[in-house]
Amino acid sequence: MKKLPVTWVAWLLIVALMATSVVSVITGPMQLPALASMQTVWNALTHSGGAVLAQHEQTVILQLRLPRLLLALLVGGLLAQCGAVMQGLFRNPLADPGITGVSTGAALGAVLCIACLPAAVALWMTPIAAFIGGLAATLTVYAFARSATYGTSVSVLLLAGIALSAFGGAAIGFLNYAADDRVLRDITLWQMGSLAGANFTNIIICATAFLLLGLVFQRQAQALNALALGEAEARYLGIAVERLKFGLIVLAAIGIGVSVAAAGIIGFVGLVVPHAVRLVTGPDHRSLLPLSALCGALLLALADLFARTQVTPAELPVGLVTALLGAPFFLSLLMRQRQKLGNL
Amino acid sequence: MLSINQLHFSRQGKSVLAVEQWQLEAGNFVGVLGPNGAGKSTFLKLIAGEWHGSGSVSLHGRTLKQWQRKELACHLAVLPQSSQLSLPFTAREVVALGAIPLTANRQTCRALVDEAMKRTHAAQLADALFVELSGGEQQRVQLARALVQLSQAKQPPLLLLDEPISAQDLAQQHAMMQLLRQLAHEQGWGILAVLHDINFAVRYCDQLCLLGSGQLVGHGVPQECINASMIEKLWGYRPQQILTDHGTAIFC
Repeated sequence: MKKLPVTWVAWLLIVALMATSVVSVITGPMQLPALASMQTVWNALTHSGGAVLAQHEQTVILQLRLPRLLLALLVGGLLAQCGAVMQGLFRNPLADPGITGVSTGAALGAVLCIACLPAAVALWMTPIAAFIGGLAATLTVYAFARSATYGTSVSVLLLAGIALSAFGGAAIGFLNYAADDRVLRDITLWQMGSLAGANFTNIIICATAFLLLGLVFQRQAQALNALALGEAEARYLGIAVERLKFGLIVLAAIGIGVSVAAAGIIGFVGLVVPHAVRLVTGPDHRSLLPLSALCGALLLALADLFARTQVTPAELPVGLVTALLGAPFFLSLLMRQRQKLGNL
Repeated sequence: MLSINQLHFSRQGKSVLAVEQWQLEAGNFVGVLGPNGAGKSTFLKLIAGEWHGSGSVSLHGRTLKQWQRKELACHLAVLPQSSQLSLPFTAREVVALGAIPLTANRQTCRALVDEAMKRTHAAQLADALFVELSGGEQQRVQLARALVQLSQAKQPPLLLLDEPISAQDLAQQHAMMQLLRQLAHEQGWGILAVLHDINFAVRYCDQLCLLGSGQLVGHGVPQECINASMIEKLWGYRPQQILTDHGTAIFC
């Protein structure tokens, strides 16, 4: 397989995204006419009157399906971009957004909240706790890895991240062990990730994070390319390596914290999407970052569509679906592209 | 262009390198020679600003810290001994990374990259993956990257190389040394290269800089500072000396 042209792939992804979005809006447990559903979305966007659906049907489209779709696109895009940045930063294609302990930190924050607070308070405190937990974990790991004479050691960062993740995992296990049945179920479901909690507030927060991080990451794309040569070489090319590392680690932690807070833990997107994009269009971060965002958004929207329509009226946890859809796809890419992975 | 003053560097209380005073003039190709552990790589890293010792290293009258990051990158490039590339870039993409500190549009960049790859005999490698190239080919690609990086220097740039010909075959060794000498003589660059082959150094360099156990033991024109007894003193090996038809000495 030869590398495909970037613009070509970008258009393909955009068309696929649009198609997936339309299908997401018109399908669900409640059967609604497709054209009328789209008309409803159009009317809401343009503030024009003329209801084509009954009030409760409009609610399903505008309050349930549309916010959920938007959240899926944003969270998928955020996770994939942060994954691409982490892999570039750690010079390791196996790095994933959770590697600095941010996912486990966020999970611990959320689980603590679910386990220790009354259910009514926990409901709206969980995202905040997840965000704080994720950021705290990242800063802790960074403090370990940072030294005045040698700069930030990536291997110490990774090892400290693993240690902190193990600690967090054990703490979560303990809370699970001590929890009663209702809390245990809440915790387990939260950890599997779900986009059911989509609402205006978390969409705005995710959209802001997505745009801001996207802009900053894009500006640093060439610096990430230079980093592939090695930290010393990047420094000789005029890049402020220490500042770059600190800035990007914190920003990626914020991105992951925001998405975990909104949708729980959704694995695999951050690890696999950048890989898949790299195998198709090459490792240049200037194209890798935007294409990863598109591809991550597409993967999560597809996964959520699958999750909420396959076992109606119940739904599957979307985190399980991303892994089920993503893993075979990734393996097939790996089989064909082994030689392109570089010195793994 | 490069001047070094009272440069001292020690690790764990032990002095690794001490150079009182040394200068490199633009338009000169200087070879750094010395046995293993003499401090050659340390010397290069201190000049490059990767490590910091006491004393001062200044380029065109300004210490490295007084330069702006990007501006310095346009005037000082370093060729590492070997390199690990973490992502599967092609050779051409690696060379193009040299354009990061430059202010050039896409077309100019492409022309610079093409020319640099031609000069280092790497043009035919352009579309190959960097990690799949041999050590010698990787060195040539990296040299092309450095050529791009220094191509827009406003003052004569300084190119530091750590064993640039160690992995080349015989013909490429000569081609590369000729290119370095050309860059110094025709374009006025300052070139400082750590070398292992004394005969190559004597043949191509304008000046030599001899290091032994962290001290500058001798420097000057090759024929004057290299002789059998100096080699024996530094390397602990008494070489045979053969005179060629032109009267130049070869040590083996």
